[in-house]
Amino acid sequence: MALALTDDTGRHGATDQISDDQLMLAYRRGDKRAFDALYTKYKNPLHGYLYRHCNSETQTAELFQDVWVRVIASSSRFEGKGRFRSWIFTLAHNCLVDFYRKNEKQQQHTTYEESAGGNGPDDEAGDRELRSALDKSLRRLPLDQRQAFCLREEQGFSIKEIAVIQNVSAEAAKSRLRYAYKKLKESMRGQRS
Amino acid sequence: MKPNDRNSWVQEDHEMAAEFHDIAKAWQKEKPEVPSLQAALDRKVKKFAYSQIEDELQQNWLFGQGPRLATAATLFFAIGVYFVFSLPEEGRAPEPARKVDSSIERRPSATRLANQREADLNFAREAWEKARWEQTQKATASGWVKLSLVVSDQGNIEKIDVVESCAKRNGHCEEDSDLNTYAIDMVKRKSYKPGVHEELILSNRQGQPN
Repeated sequence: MALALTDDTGRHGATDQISDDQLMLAYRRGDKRAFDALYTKYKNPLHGYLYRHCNSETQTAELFQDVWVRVIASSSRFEGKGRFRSWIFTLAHNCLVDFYRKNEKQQQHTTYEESAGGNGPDDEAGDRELRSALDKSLRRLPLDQRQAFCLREEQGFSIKEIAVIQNVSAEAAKSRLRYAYKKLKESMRGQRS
Repeated sequence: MKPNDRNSWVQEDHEMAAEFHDIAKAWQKEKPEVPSLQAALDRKVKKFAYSQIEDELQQNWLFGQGPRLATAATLFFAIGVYFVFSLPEEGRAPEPARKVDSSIERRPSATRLANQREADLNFAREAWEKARWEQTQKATASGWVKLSLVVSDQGNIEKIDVVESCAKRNGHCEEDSDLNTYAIDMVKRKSYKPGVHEELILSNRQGQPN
Protein backbone atom coordinates (compact mmCIF):
# COMPACT_ATOMS: atom_id res chain seq x y z
CA MET A 1 0.00 0.00 0.00
CA ALA A 2 1.56 3.26 -1.07
CA LEU A 3 1.19 6.01 1.44
CA ALA A 4 2.37 9.54 0.96
CA LEU A 5 3.71 11.02 4.15
CA THR A 6 2.22 13.93 5.98
CA ASP A 7 4.99 16.12 7.28
CA ASP A 8 5.26 17.92 10.57
CA THR A 9 4.49 21.26 9.04
CA GLY A 10 0.98 20.18 8.37
CA ARG A 11 1.30 19.79 4.63
CA HIS A 12 -0.59 16.71 3.65
CA GLY A 13 0.21 14.42 0.79
CA ALA A 14 -1.77 11.52 -0.54
CA THR A 15 -2.59 10.46 3.00
CA ASP A 16 -5.44 12.94 2.83
CA GLN A 17 -7.09 10.50 0.50
CA ILE A 18 -6.70 7.68 2.97
CA SER A 19 -8.98 7.49 5.96
CA ASP A 20 -7.67 7.25 9.49
CA ASP A 21 -9.14 3.78 9.68
CA GLN A 22 -7.20 2.66 6.63
CA LEU A 23 -4.04 4.14 8.10
CA MET A 24 -4.60 2.29 11.34
CA LEU A 25 -5.22 -0.97 9.51
CA ALA A 26 -2.10 -0.37 7.42
CA TYR A 27 -0.12 0.15 10.62
CA ARG A 28 -1.49 -3.12 11.92
CA ARG A 29 -0.09 -4.79 8.83
CA GLY A 30 3.32 -3.33 9.65
CA ASP A 31 3.37 -0.03 7.75
CA LYS A 32 5.38 2.44 9.80
CA ARG A 33 4.53 5.34 7.51
CA ALA A 34 0.87 4.82 8.24
CA PHE A 35 1.58 5.25 11.93
CA ASP A 36 3.64 8.36 11.23
CA ALA A 37 0.73 9.85 9.30
CA LEU A 38 -1.72 9.11 12.09
CA TYR A 39 0.63 10.36 14.77
CA THR A 40 1.33 13.58 12.91
CA LYS A 41 -2.36 14.19 12.51
CA TYR A 42 -3.40 13.51 16.07
CA LYS A 43 -0.43 14.37 18.26
CA ASN A 44 -1.21 18.06 18.73
CA PRO A 45 -4.99 17.75 19.22
CA LEU A 46 -4.42 14.95 21.70
CA HIS A 47 -1.66 16.74 23.53
CA GLY A 48 -3.75 19.91 23.80
CA TYR A 49 -6.75 17.99 25.02
CA LEU A 50 -4.73 16.24 27.72
CA TYR A 51 -3.01 19.44 28.76
CA ARG A 52 -6.37 21.03 29.54
CA HIS A 53 -6.86 18.37 32.19
CA CYS A 54 -3.46 18.36 33.81
CA ASN A 55 -1.46 20.49 36.15
CA SER A 56 1.81 20.29 34.35
CA GLU A 57 3.58 19.41 31.17
CA THR A 58 5.15 16.44 32.88
CA GLN A 59 1.78 14.95 33.70
CA THR A 60 0.59 15.74 30.19
CA ALA A 61 3.59 13.98 28.72
CA GLU A 62 2.94 10.92 30.86
CA LEU A 63 -0.70 10.80 29.84
CA PHE A 64 0.18 11.44 26.21
CA GLN A 65 2.51 8.47 26.21
CA ASP A 66 -0.05 6.37 28.00
CA VAL A 67 -2.68 7.12 25.37
CA TRP A 68 -0.38 6.22 22.49
CA VAL A 69 0.73 3.06 24.23
CA ARG A 70 -2.93 2.10 24.47
CA VAL A 71 -3.49 3.00 20.81
CA ILE A 72 -0.57 0.84 19.76
CA ALA A 73 -1.42 -2.02 22.10
CA SER A 74 -5.08 -1.97 21.07
CA SER A 75 -4.36 -1.68 17.37
CA SER A 76 -4.98 -5.40 16.85
CA ARG A 77 -8.49 -4.96 18.24
CA PHE A 78 -9.28 -1.91 16.13
CA GLU A 79 -12.03 -2.87 13.75
CA GLY A 80 -12.02 0.21 11.57
CA LYS A 81 -15.58 1.30 11.23
CA GLY A 82 -14.87 4.89 10.41
CA ARG A 83 -14.47 5.92 14.02
CA PHE A 84 -10.75 6.21 14.61
CA ARG A 85 -11.04 9.80 15.80
CA SER A 86 -13.69 8.92 18.37
CA TRP A 87 -11.75 5.82 19.31
CA ILE A 88 -8.50 7.61 20.08
CA PHE A 89 -10.29 10.24 22.18
CA THR A 90 -12.15 7.47 23.98
CA LEU A 91 -8.78 6.01 24.91
CA ALA A 92 -7.68 9.47 26.04
CA HIS A 93 -10.84 9.80 28.10
CA ASN A 94 -10.17 6.45 29.76
CA CYS A 95 -6.58 7.44 30.50
CA LEU A 96 -7.77 10.63 32.13
CA VAL A 97 -10.36 8.81 34.21
CA ASP A 98 -7.71 6.33 35.39
CA PHE A 99 -5.28 9.14 36.08
CA TYR A 100 -7.84 11.04 38.17
CA ARG A 101 -8.81 7.92 40.08
CA LYS A 102 -5.18 7.31 41.02
CA ASN A 103 -4.65 10.88 42.08
CA GLU A 104 -8.14 11.58 43.34
CA LYS A 105 -7.21 13.72 46.30
CA GLN A 106 -4.68 15.81 44.48
CA GLN A 107 -6.54 16.18 41.24
CA GLN A 108 -10.14 16.63 42.26
CA HIS A 109 -9.80 20.26 41.35
CA THR A 110 -6.73 21.08 39.36
CA THR A 111 -5.00 24.29 40.14
CA TYR A 112 -4.11 26.91 37.67
CA GLU A 113 -0.51 27.16 36.59
CA GLU A 114 0.65 30.70 36.03
CA SER A 115 2.83 29.49 33.21
CA ALA A 116 -0.21 28.45 31.25
CA GLY A 117 -0.98 32.01 30.21
CA GLY A 118 0.60 33.80 27.30
CA ASN A 119 3.12 36.61 27.57
CA GLY A 120 1.50 39.31 25.50
CA PRO A 121 2.36 43.02 25.57
CA ASP A 122 0.95 45.35 28.19
CA ASP A 123 -1.87 46.64 26.01
CA GLU A 124 -3.18 43.10 25.88
CA ALA A 125 -3.41 42.84 29.62
CA GLY A 126 -7.20 42.69 29.48
CA ASP A 127 -7.17 39.81 27.08
CA ARG A 128 -4.60 38.05 29.17
CA GLU A 129 -6.76 38.42 32.23
CA LEU A 130 -9.74 37.07 30.37
CA ARG A 131 -7.68 34.16 29.13
CA SER A 132 -6.48 33.49 32.62
CA ALA A 133 -10.00 33.65 33.98
CA LEU A 134 -11.25 31.28 31.30
CA ASP A 135 -8.48 28.85 32.05
CA LYS A 136 -9.16 29.05 35.78
CA SER A 137 -12.84 28.51 35.24
CA LEU A 138 -12.23 25.59 32.95
CA ARG A 139 -9.91 23.94 35.45
CA ARG A 140 -12.46 24.35 38.19
CA LEU A 141 -15.02 22.43 36.21
CA PRO A 142 -15.58 18.78 37.13
CA LEU A 143 -13.65 16.43 34.87
CA ASP A 144 -16.63 15.18 32.88
CA GLN A 145 -17.84 18.72 32.11
CA ARG A 146 -14.36 19.93 31.26
CA GLN A 147 -13.88 16.97 28.95
CA ALA A 148 -17.20 17.57 27.25
CA PHE A 149 -16.39 21.23 26.71
CA CYS A 150 -12.89 20.57 25.34
CA LEU A 151 -14.11 17.80 23.08
CA ARG A 152 -16.67 20.11 21.59
CA GLU A 153 -14.85 23.43 21.41
CA GLU A 154 -11.35 22.24 20.69
CA GLN A 155 -11.90 18.98 18.86
CA GLY A 156 -15.23 19.71 17.21
CA PHE A 157 -17.11 16.62 18.38
CA SER A 158 -20.91 16.57 18.32
CA ILE A 159 -23.06 15.85 21.36
CA LYS A 160 -23.59 12.26 20.25
CA GLU A 161 -19.88 11.70 19.68
CA ILE A 162 -19.09 13.11 23.10
CA ALA A 163 -21.63 10.72 24.55
CA VAL A 164 -19.86 7.80 22.86
CA ILE A 165 -16.44 8.93 24.07
CA GLN A 166 -17.62 9.43 27.63
CA ASN A 167 -19.73 6.30 27.51
CA VAL A 168 -22.89 8.09 28.64
CA SER A 169 -26.22 8.87 27.03
CA ALA A 170 -26.47 11.77 24.62
CA GLU A 171 -28.74 13.47 27.14
CA ALA A 172 -26.06 13.24 29.81
CA ALA A 173 -23.43 14.58 27.43
CA LYS A 174 -25.67 17.45 26.48
CA SER A 175 -26.30 18.22 30.14
CA ARG A 176 -22.56 18.24 30.92
CA LEU A 177 -21.94 20.60 28.05
CA ARG A 178 -24.67 22.92 29.13
CA TYR A 179 -23.29 23.13 32.66
CA ALA A 180 -19.81 23.80 31.37
CA TYR A 181 -20.96 26.58 29.03
CA LYS A 182 -22.99 28.23 31.75
CA LYS A 183 -20.17 28.24 34.28
CA LEU A 184 -17.73 29.65 31.77
CA LYS A 185 -20.24 32.28 30.78
CA GLU A 186 -20.63 33.33 34.40
CA SER A 187 -16.89 33.60 34.85
CA MET A 188 -16.62 35.72 31.71
CA ARG A 189 -19.33 38.04 32.97
CA GLY A 190 -17.54 38.34 36.30
CA GLN A 191 -14.32 39.18 34.51
CA ARG A 192 -15.90 41.86 32.35
CA SER A 193 -17.95 43.51 35.08
CA MET B 1 -36.69 17.71 24.59
CA LYS B 2 -35.31 14.23 24.05
CA PRO B 3 -34.26 13.79 20.47
CA ASN B 4 -34.23 10.21 19.33
CA ASP B 5 -32.91 10.17 15.83
CA ARG B 6 -29.74 11.43 14.26
CA ASN B 7 -31.33 14.48 12.63
CA SER B 8 -32.75 15.60 15.94
CA TRP B 9 -29.30 15.46 17.52
CA VAL B 10 -27.79 17.41 14.65
CA GLN B 11 -30.49 20.00 15.29
CA GLU B 12 -29.62 19.90 18.96
CA ASP B 13 -25.96 20.57 18.12
CA HIS B 14 -26.93 23.63 16.09
CA GLU B 15 -29.16 24.96 18.82
CA MET B 16 -26.48 24.59 21.45
CA ALA B 17 -23.90 26.25 19.19
CA ALA B 18 -26.27 29.20 18.71
CA GLU B 19 -27.09 29.42 22.39
CA PHE B 20 -23.45 29.53 23.53
CA HIS B 21 -22.03 31.26 20.52
CA ASP B 22 -20.46 34.02 22.60
CA ILE B 23 -18.63 31.56 24.86
CA ALA B 24 -17.34 29.62 21.90
CA LYS B 25 -16.13 32.78 20.22
CA ALA B 26 -14.41 34.03 23.37
CA TRP B 27 -12.83 30.65 23.93
CA GLN B 28 -11.51 30.43 20.39
CA LYS B 29 -10.04 33.91 20.74
CA GLU B 30 -8.73 33.77 24.26
CA LYS B 31 -8.13 30.15 24.98
CA PRO B 32 -4.97 29.52 26.97
CA GLU B 33 -2.01 28.36 24.98
CA VAL B 34 -0.83 24.81 25.04
CA PRO B 35 2.92 24.25 25.30
CA SER B 36 4.39 22.56 22.28
CA LEU B 37 5.05 18.87 22.30
CA GLN B 38 8.55 17.78 23.21
CA ALA B 39 10.49 16.25 20.34
CA ALA B 40 11.79 13.58 22.69
CA LEU B 41 8.23 12.47 23.30
CA ASP B 42 7.70 12.14 19.57
CA ARG B 43 10.70 9.90 19.25
CA LYS B 44 9.69 7.82 22.25
CA VAL B 45 6.18 7.14 20.96
CA LYS B 46 7.33 6.36 17.43
CA LYS B 47 10.07 4.10 18.69
CA PHE B 48 7.55 2.15 20.71
CA ALA B 49 5.13 1.96 17.78
CA TYR B 50 7.81 0.67 15.43
CA SER B 51 9.14 -1.84 17.93
CA GLN B 52 5.63 -3.17 18.41
CA ILE B 53 5.07 -4.00 14.75
CA GLU B 54 8.59 -5.36 14.45
CA ASP B 55 7.88 -7.68 17.36
CA GLU B 56 4.69 -8.82 15.72
CA LEU B 57 6.51 -9.43 12.47
CA GLN B 58 9.16 -11.39 14.30
CA GLN B 59 6.45 -13.62 15.70
CA ASN B 60 4.67 -14.03 12.40
CA TRP B 61 4.94 -17.64 11.20
CA LEU B 62 5.75 -16.63 7.64
CA PHE B 63 7.31 -13.18 7.75
CA GLY B 64 9.08 -13.36 11.07
CA GLN B 65 12.87 -13.42 11.03
CA GLY B 66 13.28 -16.83 12.64
CA PRO B 67 10.27 -18.50 11.05
CA ARG B 68 11.18 -16.95 7.70
CA LEU B 69 14.62 -18.59 7.82
CA ALA B 70 13.14 -21.88 8.93
CA THR B 71 10.55 -21.74 6.17
CA ALA B 72 13.21 -20.96 3.58
CA ALA B 73 15.45 -23.76 4.84
CA THR B 74 12.58 -26.25 4.74
CA LEU B 75 11.63 -25.12 1.27
CA PHE B 76 15.18 -25.51 -0.06
CA PHE B 77 15.50 -28.91 1.58
CA ALA B 78 12.22 -30.07 0.02
CA ILE B 79 13.30 -28.83 -3.42
CA GLY B 80 16.66 -30.59 -3.00
CA VAL B 81 15.04 -33.89 -2.03
CA TYR B 82 12.60 -33.63 -4.92
CA PHE B 83 15.45 -32.89 -7.33
CA VAL B 84 17.53 -35.86 -6.22
CA PHE B 85 14.67 -38.34 -6.42
CA SER B 86 13.38 -37.04 -9.71
CA LEU B 87 16.72 -37.67 -11.49
CA PRO B 88 16.81 -40.64 -13.87
CA GLU B 89 18.84 -43.58 -12.60
CA GLU B 90 21.82 -42.99 -14.90
CA GLY B 91 21.92 -39.28 -14.20
CA ARG B 92 21.76 -39.56 -10.46
CA ALA B 93 24.65 -38.06 -8.64
CA PRO B 94 26.74 -40.50 -6.64
CA GLU B 95 25.82 -40.63 -3.02
CA PRO B 96 28.32 -38.85 -0.81
CA ALA B 97 30.46 -41.00 1.39
CA ARG B 98 28.77 -41.47 4.68
CA LYS B 99 30.68 -40.62 7.76
CA VAL B 100 28.50 -42.73 9.96
CA ASP B 101 28.74 -46.50 10.06
CA SER B 102 26.16 -47.51 7.51
CA SER B 103 26.70 -51.27 7.72
CA ILE B 104 23.54 -51.68 9.72
CA GLU B 105 21.52 -49.54 7.33
CA ARG B 106 22.79 -51.41 4.27
CA ARG B 107 22.38 -54.92 5.68
CA PRO B 108 19.37 -56.68 4.09
CA SER B 109 16.73 -57.81 6.46
CA ALA B 110 16.89 -61.36 7.84
CA THR B 111 13.63 -62.33 6.15
CA ARG B 112 14.88 -61.16 2.78
CA LEU B 113 18.11 -63.11 3.22
CA ALA B 114 16.27 -66.27 4.20
CA ASN B 115 13.94 -66.01 1.19
CA GLN B 116 16.86 -65.49 -1.16
CA ARG B 117 18.73 -68.45 0.29
CA GLU B 118 15.70 -70.70 -0.06
CA ALA B 119 15.18 -69.66 -3.69
CA ASP B 120 18.83 -70.39 -4.47
CA LEU B 121 18.59 -73.79 -2.84
CA ASN B 122 15.45 -74.64 -4.79
CA PHE B 123 17.08 -73.63 -8.04
CA ALA B 124 20.16 -75.73 -7.30
CA ARG B 125 18.05 -78.70 -6.22
CA GLU B 126 15.95 -78.54 -9.39
CA ALA B 127 19.04 -78.23 -11.55
CA TRP B 128 20.70 -81.14 -9.81
CA GLU B 129 17.57 -83.34 -10.06
CA LYS B 130 17.22 -82.50 -13.71
CA ALA B 131 20.87 -83.33 -14.38
CA ARG B 132 20.54 -86.62 -12.45
CA TRP B 133 17.37 -87.52 -14.33
CA GLU B 134 19.08 -86.73 -17.64
CA GLN B 135 22.11 -88.77 -16.63
CA THR B 136 19.92 -91.76 -15.74
CA GLN B 137 17.95 -91.44 -18.97
CA LYS B 138 21.10 -91.13 -21.04
CA ALA B 139 22.66 -94.19 -19.35
CA THR B 140 19.69 -96.43 -20.05
CA ALA B 141 18.90 -95.14 -23.56
CA SER B 142 20.56 -96.25 -26.75
CA GLY B 143 20.69 -92.67 -27.89
CA TRP B 144 19.46 -89.18 -27.13
CA VAL B 145 19.21 -85.73 -28.58
CA LYS B 146 19.21 -82.61 -26.47
CA LEU B 147 17.44 -79.73 -28.15
CA SER B 148 17.10 -76.05 -27.38
CA LEU B 149 14.02 -74.32 -28.68
CA VAL B 150 12.58 -70.84 -28.65
CA VAL B 151 8.80 -70.49 -28.44
CA SER B 152 7.04 -67.26 -29.41
CA ASP B 153 4.35 -65.46 -27.39
CA GLN B 154 1.78 -67.11 -29.64
CA GLY B 155 3.17 -70.56 -28.75
CA ASN B 156 4.87 -71.20 -32.11
CA ILE B 157 8.29 -72.81 -32.15
CA GLU B 158 10.52 -70.27 -33.82
CA LYS B 159 13.90 -71.92 -33.51
CA ILE B 160 15.22 -75.39 -32.74
CA ASP B 161 18.91 -76.12 -32.12
CA VAL B 162 20.52 -79.46 -31.46
CA VAL B 163 22.62 -78.96 -28.34
CA GLU B 164 23.80 -82.51 -27.88
CA SER B 165 23.26 -85.68 -29.80
CA CYS B 166 24.35 -89.24 -29.14
CA ALA B 167 23.66 -92.47 -30.95
CA LYS B 168 25.50 -95.20 -29.04
CA ARG B 169 27.41 -97.59 -31.21
CA ASN B 170 29.85 -100.00 -29.59
CA GLY B 171 29.82 -98.00 -26.40
CA HIS B 172 30.61 -94.74 -28.18
CA CYS B 173 28.46 -91.76 -29.07
CA GLU B 174 28.11 -90.91 -32.70
CA GLU B 175 26.23 -88.19 -34.51
CA ASP B 176 23.11 -89.56 -36.22
CA SER B 177 21.20 -87.21 -38.46
CA ASP B 178 18.14 -89.49 -38.54
CA LEU B 179 18.02 -89.42 -34.77
CA ASN B 180 18.28 -85.64 -34.80
CA THR B 181 15.48 -85.34 -37.35
CA TYR B 182 13.39 -87.70 -35.32
CA ALA B 183 13.98 -85.62 -32.19
CA ILE B 184 13.09 -82.40 -33.97
CA ASP B 185 9.87 -83.94 -35.30
CA MET B 186 8.97 -85.11 -31.81
CA VAL B 187 9.49 -81.64 -30.40
CA LYS B 188 7.43 -80.03 -33.15
CA ARG B 189 4.45 -82.17 -32.21
CA LYS B 190 4.44 -80.91 -28.66
CA SER B 191 3.17 -77.59 -27.39
CA TYR B 192 5.27 -75.33 -25.23
CA LYS B 193 4.82 -72.16 -23.25
CA PRO B 194 6.46 -69.05 -24.65
CA GLY B 195 10.13 -68.77 -23.84
CA VAL B 196 13.32 -70.82 -24.15
CA HIS B 197 13.20 -74.53 -23.41
CA GLU B 198 15.49 -77.54 -23.42
CA GLU B 199 14.19 -80.91 -24.39
CA LEU B 200 15.81 -84.33 -24.17
CA ILE B 201 14.59 -86.88 -26.68
CA LEU B 202 15.57 -90.51 -26.06
CA SER B 203 16.01 -93.50 -28.37
CA ASN B 204 15.77 -97.08 -27.01
CA ARG B 205 17.26 -98.98 -29.82
CA GLN B 206 20.69 -98.42 -31.09
CA GLY B 207 20.57 -96.25 -34.15
CA GLN B 208 16.76 -96.24 -34.02
CA PRO B 209 14.59 -93.56 -32.62
CA ASN B 210 12.31 -94.51 -29.73
